[in-house]
Amino acid sequence: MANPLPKHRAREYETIFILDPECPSDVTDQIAARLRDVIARLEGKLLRAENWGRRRLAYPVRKHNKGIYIYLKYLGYSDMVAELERNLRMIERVIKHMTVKLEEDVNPETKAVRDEDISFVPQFEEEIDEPAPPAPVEAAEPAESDAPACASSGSVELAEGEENEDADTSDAGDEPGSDEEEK
Amino acid sequence: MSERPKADGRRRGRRRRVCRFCADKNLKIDYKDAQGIRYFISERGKIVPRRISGNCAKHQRQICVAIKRARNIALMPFTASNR
Ligand SMILES: [Zn+2]
Repeated sequence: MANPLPKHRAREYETIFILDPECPSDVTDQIAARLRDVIARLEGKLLRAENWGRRRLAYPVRKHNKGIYIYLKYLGYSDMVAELERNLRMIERVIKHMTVKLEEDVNPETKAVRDEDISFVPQFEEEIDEPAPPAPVEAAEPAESDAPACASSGSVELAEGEENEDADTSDAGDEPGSDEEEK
Repeated sequence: MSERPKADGRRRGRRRRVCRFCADKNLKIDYKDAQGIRYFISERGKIVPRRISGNCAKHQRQICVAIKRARNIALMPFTASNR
């Protein structure tokens, strides 16, 4: 009976991170394996993984105009996000990342995972003609203030990567655990 | 149920009475769906105020959060200038 019993209540998170567009697929796989290890080690549970392929970025990030988007959804306890993001920051190939808390109080047993939910194979590859032209060194202008468009307040937590040149993203939200699937 | 607003001189492109998310419960607001929320930013990348978009306060709040998240992870621009 020495089960490492599930502490019952976990949180559900999702993390998106962006790899530099030249990251080869075997390196992507290594990174994926490393992050899965982190999740497993902290007794979390990977619920979903997707590779969105190489996409155009809405603004240059570390001189890159494109990036490979990886999406993870997982359960974890209070130490999970810090540790996962610590790892992401250490991985050179990761140029940006963001974590959002989806649900506060989840019983891990209610979340089933099918094999096909977890895949790091690119779903669709934007045909990439030229290998990312060198970005002009004019940085993105800082965001204009669009403050009045919405009054932000609330509790949805947005743990964001540190290297946001232009992070204006304050956390703001709706009622805890409202949107996103419940199931 | 979108009652078309009268063309009352000061008609401005998009205008609608009813919040589309209230009208259609199946519409989801998801920051990962850049196509879906692109509708709520202007050409310059600014968030469209709800007096124009017609969203109710609740859904406008959710749209705002979604746009900010999308911007943060480079799915959406902060401004139109870069592209
Ligand atoms: Zn509404």
